[in-house]
Amino acid sequence: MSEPSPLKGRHRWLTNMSTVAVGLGIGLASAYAAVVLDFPPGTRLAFGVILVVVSIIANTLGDGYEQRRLLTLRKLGDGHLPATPEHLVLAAREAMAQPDLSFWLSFIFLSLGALVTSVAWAAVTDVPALVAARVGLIGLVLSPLTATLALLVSIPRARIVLRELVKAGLPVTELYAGVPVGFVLRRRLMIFSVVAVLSPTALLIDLGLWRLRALLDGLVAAPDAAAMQAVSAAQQGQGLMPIVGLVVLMIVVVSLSAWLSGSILGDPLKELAAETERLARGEHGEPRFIPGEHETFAAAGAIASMESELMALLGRLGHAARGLTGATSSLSEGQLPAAARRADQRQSLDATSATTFELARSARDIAVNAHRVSELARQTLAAARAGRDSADGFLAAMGQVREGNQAIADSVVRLNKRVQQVGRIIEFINGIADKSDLLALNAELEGNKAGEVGRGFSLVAAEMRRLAESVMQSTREIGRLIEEIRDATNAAVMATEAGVKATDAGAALAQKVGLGLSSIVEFANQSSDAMQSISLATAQQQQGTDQLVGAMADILRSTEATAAASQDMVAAHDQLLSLGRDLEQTVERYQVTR
Amino acid sequence: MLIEGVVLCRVGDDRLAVRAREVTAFEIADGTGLYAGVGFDPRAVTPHDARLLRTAGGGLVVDSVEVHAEQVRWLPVPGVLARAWGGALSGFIEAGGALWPLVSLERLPRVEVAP
Repeated sequence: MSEPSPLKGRHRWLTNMSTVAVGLGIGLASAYAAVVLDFPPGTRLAFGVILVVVSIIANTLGDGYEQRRLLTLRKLGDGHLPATPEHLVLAAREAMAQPDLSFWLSFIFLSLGALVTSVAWAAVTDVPALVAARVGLIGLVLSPLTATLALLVSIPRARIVLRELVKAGLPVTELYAGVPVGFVLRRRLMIFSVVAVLSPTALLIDLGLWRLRALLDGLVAAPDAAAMQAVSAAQQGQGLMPIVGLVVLMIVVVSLSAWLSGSILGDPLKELAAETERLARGEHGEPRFIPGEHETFAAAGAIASMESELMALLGRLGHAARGLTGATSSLSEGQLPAAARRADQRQSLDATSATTFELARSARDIAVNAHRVSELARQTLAAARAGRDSADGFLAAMGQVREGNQAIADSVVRLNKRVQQVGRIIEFINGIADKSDLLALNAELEGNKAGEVGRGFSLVAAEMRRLAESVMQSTREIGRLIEEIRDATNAAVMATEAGVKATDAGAALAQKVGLGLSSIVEFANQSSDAMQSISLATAQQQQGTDQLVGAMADILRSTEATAAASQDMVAAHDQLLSLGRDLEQTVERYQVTR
Repeated sequence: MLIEGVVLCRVGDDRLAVRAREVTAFEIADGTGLYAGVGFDPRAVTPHDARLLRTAGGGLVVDSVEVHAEQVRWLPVPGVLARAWGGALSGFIEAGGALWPLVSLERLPRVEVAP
């Protein structure tokens, strides 16, 4: 089970004292009325009842309104809201606004309550209107005094609530920054003074006038001097005790108000003085909360902010002082062997200068070589491109050769077909010649059989047969030629096919060569670009090394000047070291507590 | 004795002659006649351009033929060979400076040749 919040019930506790103050004001007004008013018979009870009812209603309404204005504080106390800085700041605003709220609620409800009571009393009884109006007047006169008292008694409790909010986790700096401040102290003091003076004065004037009027009425109504003497004696017989008591009560109330206002104004000033003295003694820590209102609240916030800034400043100043002392000490210690170091530095600079000259010469050689290599790379790139173009041309030529071979092969195939057709024709001719030979042979046979008569016929037939044999001989010769042509064309076909294959192989090889040369061109291009970049870089490097040589000469000259200046720096460092130690001792006097 | 009207035939390197009157016609060999090559061996292959000497009773296939119109001298068959080969050898003739055996086609032994 969680522990109850220390803020629990603080919203109601904060408004209790204003209720007490209002009750005190009503009691004072009632006492005054009882002393100075001439209650007609039978009206006193009605007056009391009306006063009680109106007081209860006014107090209920005022208290309800106050509780609604303390909603965040109530939720924090009940645990319905987490104690975040935002919620705590809202609760602080509510608590700080509560005294002013009590003032105005007390003033309004007392004034209205007095008027309502007087009207209601006149309505329900036969009390004279003047008497009833005096009741309202008494309420109006005492309401500012009562409201001031409610304000003064509420402020201490509001301060306690603020302290508890700070304990609950509200950062002091956020409290000061999150609550708006109005500078109203002058107006408040003036109002308090006026109220403290005018309210009792008005009551005393009222009392005096009322008694004077009663005396004059008695004297006017007296028929003779003896009656007037009796009226005067009766007036004196009433005594001064009620008036004295009333005056004493007023003095007590006014004194109490003055004491409370002085305490409310003086306590924060006393704490602020103590806080300021603590700061003056150099005792610094986290900002403390000093409760106050308006100007005192603003002053406390300003001091807290100043303390916070001062802490940070002292921290940085102490760090800087220690750093300054350490750095100055190191610098001074470093200056002691400065003479020896300068000699070494001079030797190092001489050696560095010689190395720089050598570096410049090497850079020039590198630049020349890089330019030469770049030119070679460019020529290599051009040669590779020419080779690639040649390979492309060779590939195209191989394609043409392949197409030519293919055309030759096609032509030879067609020729072979034609030769075969010729062979068939020759065979046909040979067949005809063979039949002609056979026919001539039979004709010769028949002529021979016919004897002398057929001799001529046989001679013609023999001649025809020789012709046929000549034809057959020729066709055989043609057949041999056709065979030779066929063999030749077959060989040609095979040769062209082999040529096509060789051309394809050559084209593939040329394509590979072309691809290889393209890669070589690409690499040569990259090499050429790289070499050009290297050439440019080496040229820039050469310029840089030339500038470095010049800079080294400048450094040599400035080293001489630095040697003279360092002597002056030693003296300046000694003075700076002394100042740093003084500053560190000064800062150490402030005690920073956290 | 001189005779005329002979047909000179060549079969391979051999030669023979027949009387023209015994031949009715010359035809392209169609496989029906007896081939005279390799000593009338029936297993001998007939060339495709061989000639068939068609006779009344059959035919003789030779490689080539030539009708000889001139008169040639006939030499009779020696008696020892008069009845040899069925009496088909009728003698020899002299033509072109060479002797040619004269064969009687009518007396050649019948050899059945498959078509």
